[in-house]
Amino acid sequence: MQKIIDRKVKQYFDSSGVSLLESRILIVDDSEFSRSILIEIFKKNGFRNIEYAEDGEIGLEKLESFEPDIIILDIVMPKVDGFEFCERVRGCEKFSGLPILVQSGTSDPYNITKIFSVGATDFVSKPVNAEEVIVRSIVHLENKILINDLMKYRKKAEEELRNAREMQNNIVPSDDCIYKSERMYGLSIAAYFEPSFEVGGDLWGMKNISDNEVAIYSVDFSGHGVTSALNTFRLHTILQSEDSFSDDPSLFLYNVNNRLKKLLNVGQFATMIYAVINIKKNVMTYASAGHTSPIVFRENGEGEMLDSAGVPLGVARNTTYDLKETEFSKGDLVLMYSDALIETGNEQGDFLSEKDIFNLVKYSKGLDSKVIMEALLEKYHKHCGAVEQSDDLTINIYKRK
Amino acid sequence: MNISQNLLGTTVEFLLSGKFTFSDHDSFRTIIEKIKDSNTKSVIIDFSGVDFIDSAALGMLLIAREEGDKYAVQISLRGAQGQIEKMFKVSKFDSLFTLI
Repeated sequence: MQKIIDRKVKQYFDSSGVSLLESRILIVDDSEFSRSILIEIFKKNGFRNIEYAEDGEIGLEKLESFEPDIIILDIVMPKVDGFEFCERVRGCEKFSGLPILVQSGTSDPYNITKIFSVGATDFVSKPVNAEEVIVRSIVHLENKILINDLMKYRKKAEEELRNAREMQNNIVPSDDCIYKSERMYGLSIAAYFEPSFEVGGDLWGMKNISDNEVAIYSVDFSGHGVTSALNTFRLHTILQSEDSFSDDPSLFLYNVNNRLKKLLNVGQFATMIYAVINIKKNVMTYASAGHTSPIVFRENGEGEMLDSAGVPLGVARNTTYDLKETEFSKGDLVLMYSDALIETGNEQGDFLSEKDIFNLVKYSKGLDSKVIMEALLEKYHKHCGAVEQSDDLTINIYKRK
Repeated sequence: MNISQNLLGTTVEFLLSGKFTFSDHDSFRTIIEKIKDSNTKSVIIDFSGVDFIDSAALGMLLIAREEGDKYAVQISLRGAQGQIEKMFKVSKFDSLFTLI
């Protein structure tokens, strides 16, 4: 037994190189005899940071001053007993993970249950088998070290993702950019961009083509999370080159597809819609690589779901995309969205349909894009209820004023 | 998702049922392995029992297509209906696979 203990304590170091033996042990027991046995066994096994408290009250003081990694706790003590000690320790958020190993002479199942219910981590019966206390303590100390390491890692990862999210916010049009386009082309624009997990695979943008033409596009990379997000950055960089934008949606997608085919792994792809609004000719030309159907809604109350069928980008070289055209005059609006809007199931497993979205837009006739967006988001969140969003959601509304 | 397999000479038939999503990566590997098998000349993936697919599933099918090209195995997708048929239509899968 001793050999096993020896091996365990000698081998165990946490991720910052701190040995298990440096763990701080606090023994809370009113019996000097009990205390001396426990202190002895911990010392014998190489633990050096050991302190004790003669009752619960002193024990609580030592919590703050000594900051123990584990507490060996007696139940029957004057002033503050073991039960109260546990309750008060667990009442503090910062001590919620602190291992408390209770030693007690009781064999009454009610008492044992009570010990755990006030927050004890483990229990040994008195008279204690000192070696048992050591091996159990080691288990708890190892767990505590592992959990601390995990939490440190998680905190770091979350911070990195927050930074990445900030970067992703920078590759979609800023409020200032949106405002400029609104003024230049007489548009009312609303945008919603919400990754499912810190970063996501959606991207949207606009590009001024000429005094009368503005290109609008939406992209959805397969999957979500970090891998898809990395692809959005790649695409954004590709689109930064001046010659990549075109007043011909069909040509644009043809070129972007070929570039992505070279970059993406097999199985990765992106759906994309690219449209050019011409405010002089009152038309919108567009091409789509398998994106969701944009919804066009006109001043006269008519609506149209655009045909958006097309082979997704990055699948096959030299894919051609059909060039389509639709009327787009003053008062008309177009709604683009990623598939999270119609593929997020609620608790019953139902989805919002394109028809639902369509009807909502229909009843929003005459309203500003931002107001329509709010109504749409309210409907969406109401639909989802308690269900967590598991896909990236991007919605864009462009209305000609 | 459940996958059951039928062997008909050099054609392997995979009958899928349930939801085909990103969590089915591991089970889909059996289809990829069969494509790589020298005894296989054609593979039929049957979707009649599937009620939902996501973009990860489409990605897996595209990987199967690539392997099919590499190993000269014909891949056919059969029985797509409802949401599956819709996804295949939007992504023009008829130009990428034989749909039966």
